[in-house]
Amino acid sequence: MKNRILNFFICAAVLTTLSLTSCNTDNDNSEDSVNPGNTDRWITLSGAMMGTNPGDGNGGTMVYSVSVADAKNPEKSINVYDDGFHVRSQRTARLQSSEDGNTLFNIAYTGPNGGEFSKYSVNGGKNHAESDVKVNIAAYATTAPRWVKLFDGDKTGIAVNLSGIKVTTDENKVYKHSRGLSTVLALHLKDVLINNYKQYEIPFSAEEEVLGHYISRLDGPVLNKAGNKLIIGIGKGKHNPATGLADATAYTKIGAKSVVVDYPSLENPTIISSTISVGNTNGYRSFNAFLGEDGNIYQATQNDNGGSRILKINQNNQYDNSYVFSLDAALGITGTYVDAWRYAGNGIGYILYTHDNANGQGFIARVDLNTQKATIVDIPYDADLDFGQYQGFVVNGDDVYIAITPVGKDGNIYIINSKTNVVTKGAKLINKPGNHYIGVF
Amino acid sequence: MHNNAIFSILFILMVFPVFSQQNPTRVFGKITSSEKVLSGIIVSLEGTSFETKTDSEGTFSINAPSGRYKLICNGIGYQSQTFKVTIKKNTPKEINITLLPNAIAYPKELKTKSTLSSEVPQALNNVAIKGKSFAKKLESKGFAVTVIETKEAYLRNLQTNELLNQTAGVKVRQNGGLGSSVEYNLNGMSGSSVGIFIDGIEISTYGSSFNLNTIPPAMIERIEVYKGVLPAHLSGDFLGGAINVILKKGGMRNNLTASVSYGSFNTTQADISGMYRDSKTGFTARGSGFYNYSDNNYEVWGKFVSNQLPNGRVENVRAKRFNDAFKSVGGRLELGFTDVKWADNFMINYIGSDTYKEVQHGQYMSTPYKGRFTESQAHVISLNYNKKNLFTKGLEFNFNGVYSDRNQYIQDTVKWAYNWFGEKVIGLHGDPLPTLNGAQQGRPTMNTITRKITNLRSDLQYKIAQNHKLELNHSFYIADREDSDELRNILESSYLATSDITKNVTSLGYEMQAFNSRLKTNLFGKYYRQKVERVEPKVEVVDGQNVRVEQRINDLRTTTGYGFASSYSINSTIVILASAEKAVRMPSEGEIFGNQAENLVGNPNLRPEISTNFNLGFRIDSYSVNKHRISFSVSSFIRDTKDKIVILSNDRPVSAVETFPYENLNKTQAIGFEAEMNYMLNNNLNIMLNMSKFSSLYKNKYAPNGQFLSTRYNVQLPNEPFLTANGSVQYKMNDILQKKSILNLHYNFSYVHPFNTIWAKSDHFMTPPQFIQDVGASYIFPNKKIVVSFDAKNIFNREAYDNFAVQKPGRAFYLKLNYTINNF
Repeated sequence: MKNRILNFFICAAVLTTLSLTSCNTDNDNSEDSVNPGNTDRWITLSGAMMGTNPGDGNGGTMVYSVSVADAKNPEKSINVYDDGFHVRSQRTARLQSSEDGNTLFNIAYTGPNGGEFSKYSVNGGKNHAESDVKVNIAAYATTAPRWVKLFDGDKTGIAVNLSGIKVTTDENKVYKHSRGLSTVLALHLKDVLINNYKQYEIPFSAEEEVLGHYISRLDGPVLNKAGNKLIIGIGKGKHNPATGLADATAYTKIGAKSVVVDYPSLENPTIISSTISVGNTNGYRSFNAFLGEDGNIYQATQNDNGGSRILKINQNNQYDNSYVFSLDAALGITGTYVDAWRYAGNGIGYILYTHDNANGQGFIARVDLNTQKATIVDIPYDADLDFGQYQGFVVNGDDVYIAITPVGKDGNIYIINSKTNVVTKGAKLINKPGNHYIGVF
Repeated sequence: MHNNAIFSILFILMVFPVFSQQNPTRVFGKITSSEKVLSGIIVSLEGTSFETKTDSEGTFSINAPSGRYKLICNGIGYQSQTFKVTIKKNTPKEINITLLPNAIAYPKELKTKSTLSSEVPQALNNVAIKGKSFAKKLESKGFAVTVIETKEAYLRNLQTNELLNQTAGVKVRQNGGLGSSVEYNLNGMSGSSVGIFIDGIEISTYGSSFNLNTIPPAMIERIEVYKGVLPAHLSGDFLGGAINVILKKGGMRNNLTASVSYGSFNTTQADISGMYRDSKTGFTARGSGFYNYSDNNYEVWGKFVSNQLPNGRVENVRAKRFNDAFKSVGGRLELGFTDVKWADNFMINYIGSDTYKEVQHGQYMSTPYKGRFTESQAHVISLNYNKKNLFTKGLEFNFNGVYSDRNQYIQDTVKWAYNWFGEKVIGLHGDPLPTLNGAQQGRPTMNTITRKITNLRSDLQYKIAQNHKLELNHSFYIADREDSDELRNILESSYLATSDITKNVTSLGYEMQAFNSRLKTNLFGKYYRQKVERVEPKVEVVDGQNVRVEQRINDLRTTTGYGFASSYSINSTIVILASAEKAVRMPSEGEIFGNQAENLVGNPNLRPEISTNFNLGFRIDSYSVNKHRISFSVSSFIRDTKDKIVILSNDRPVSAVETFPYENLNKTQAIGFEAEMNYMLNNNLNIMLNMSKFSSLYKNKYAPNGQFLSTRYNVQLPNEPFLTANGSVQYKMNDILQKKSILNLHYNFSYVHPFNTIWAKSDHFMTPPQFIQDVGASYIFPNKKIVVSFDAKNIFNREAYDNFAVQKPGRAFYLKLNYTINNF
């Protein structure tokens, strides 16, 4: 208890410092003081075990927590597989953590308890105490829900789902459109109950629908600066209007889109569309869009023509089509694909990506959203490094923690200072064949 | 390495052919009951291939070399008898025998001592009461086979699946109560690698309304469970083994049997069967029918049974299943001739069946369904012809042709979500919650699947010489499937692919006996040919118009398998058995062409899945000391599976839809043993114990990057019940309440050791240890016509699971009445 109060004060102090530092940077661009963040918090590592194939992560998720000092210490070794705690989920757990690192949130993915939200208090090492109340959102969002936390002081988690895609024809049996049921659900993280939910059928424009385009997936919700709208990423699907079945031809993609709904009422869904990108905006297993200090939302794309991009959504909740940031162009490569990314503040983000002819190998780039520049982060790369399932980053002060292990090989925590871009090798991560670490929380 | 070993064994077995070169001597006689001459009684010399049937005059004749033999008489409906016979050179021997009827067919071990008729010559006075049932005969052919006789089970309140589940090495995994879907696990192999046959014909031919869930034990003569290695005449591509159900042939007597049973969960089961044979013309008619009904509304309370409050909170509850009713009706009519000049057996057969089953939940109990159900009907016509000594002596021909027209209807249209109390789930805003896909399990469906299946099986056996037999078997299977979903719009429906599948399996077997029939060997090779033709409608633009074009894709693949089975009797009680096979499973239509509805991408380049199976065991038959009799068997096995067909997961979809391709990938190995012990005291007490333990091991040694997978290699696969045990005690009492009555008391237990259902070690995903106990009693009235049975199952009301997170019934009671009339 005492520790918690202490933590709270340290936390508050850090946040204050952080905001002050940000102001400073904004004002005079100086990189004087290095902010180490909360040095008294837990750093939790998560590792995914292989199911039947190496690197598939389908064998379940283990977690283990250490102090900031230990996480930064390359002499320390962490082994979640032998020493850790199994998070209750048949396949890969979908973890999120509180901003202070004291609480882990999980929604079980598939299996008999799929859709079950549970909360663990982090007590170091393998000691994770599960709260006795549980919420199951499967009835709203299936047993394999996609969810993230909002950056609202650990109050809310948003789960989204799209299901029941149905082809509708007119009276002449001619294809009309395909639509599914969208669900947006807000979880009260502290009280462990459902705050609110809404379900609706969200159509694309009539021209797009008649060509067979529809929403196939929702993910990566983010709250806007005003706190009155949620922006939700969209994965697009397409049916062949001639057959009503999935379109296997090389069709022309339509612009990247997001759903915008009122917050907290979750009402009035509308669709916004980009002219810059034709990708998807739903991400894969973690955040895909962040609110910058400038009040704009920065959103990554996947499956884009000409590689992934970062899109900007302005404070009017519209795509800013004057903002062009192509990762292919910035990195001088082709076919970039963002697996996961994290915004670290001051216009700086870290992107985990792969690209054409890389055999799925993962890389990290530091991106500057203000200058649209990207540079590869200098760490030891390995052909078996794969960020396809990567979930969690810790941003603590200026430090960004990333767990880097090639499939089946030992690796390290890397701590990257987002201001100086200095890369520090942290604790050693002991791996097992076929497994990989998928996050820091 | 393994292969070399097989071939050396084969070679050794082949270079020891033993021919009997003596002039045989005739043994002959007549078999009668107290009233009449008996035809169709099997007379054989134990441990040899000398075997014959009595003709319509009741006479038999065997030519055998001189020596000391045991002569056995076996006839359905009669107690079998054994006599010691010494055959001297050039001295024909006459033996006349009187058989006693079985009041009610009862297992061999419980038979009362038979008396010898006065017609038997003095020389045969030394009588051993020891028959070799068909089961024993089959079990000593070298295959890893267990034969389950239903003679006793049908008197009791036992389902066919329960009977199988009590067998060593067999685990039946059922998704709920009576009638729910079943998967069979034989020594660690399951799913499509295990074949289910009825009289040697694949059960899929008969449709889902005539299967092991619906066929009562009363209609079944016996069940053969082959583990791993399949004999030549069971020709299918199954690498895990097969369950072959032999339906009752009814013997030679006119009889009528009926039973009715009622018990917990409003479970009603009834069956009737009868047969008539005109002994002059050989005209035979057999008929049987069954009716099963259960509400299956048993209580469930496991940790996965929970309801949700409007705010999402989870609340564990006890509740009764409410959408699980099951009803099935079926009948079988056979007309034909038996034991006539031109055929031993010529039968035309009709089976009709109809099943209704509600579906309470999917893979887990987490979400209860309301209103989802399936209905299936099947009409099956078959022709059966069998003749020994066709054209020439020693040539036996067997033909079985089946045509089945069956359809299955699945309806799921209820759009609301339900909780375990059968009430609509209320959402946060006070409104009932609709399900996410519009129906209980997925999108709304009213789907009819029609299949027309033809399955022809011919079998030719020829005795080349006294101890050498050749067998040629061919099976032809063609299935034509059509799906139509009334809730799919016409646009979608007209572009769904259709497919036909044709399978030909030819097998050649060679059976040999040597060393006075102590060594029996079976060699066989199988040739598989599978053709899948698929019609995939496509859109093409012709003159600016969209035109529906049918694209035909043919896939033809062939492969071969081979194996052997061998047994060697050290003495009259100890037998050693060994078998090995290279078994094959052809990729299925869905695996080759994919299933767009489930986002599964087919792979036309899939190789057949290959398994190398080895079995080695021994059996001690009926070792007797005074009044104690004991038999014991142990069998060990290895199943090495390569090119296992698996679905690969795909992290980064390049197309708009997430798809999962099939690949040949994993290697697995099952290795284990099973043991069974039978003890009998004084023909009154019978104790049976069996256990089976195996490990199903992950055998992918290296990751694609060449790294050794030390944490997975040789590690047990999750979700396999790897240690199971069953036991039963039976006690017989004579003259209880009434003179000449028989009271049987039964006790059964089954134990399943906890097993992990996921890779990670987690208490939450570990099944509890299961120890389920049943008791029962059956009372046979003095007139031997009426039997009353009472069974109490799961008497301590324990949580029981076959599949993880699907609870089976708790305590339940059943009462059954059997009535038999013979010789009307």
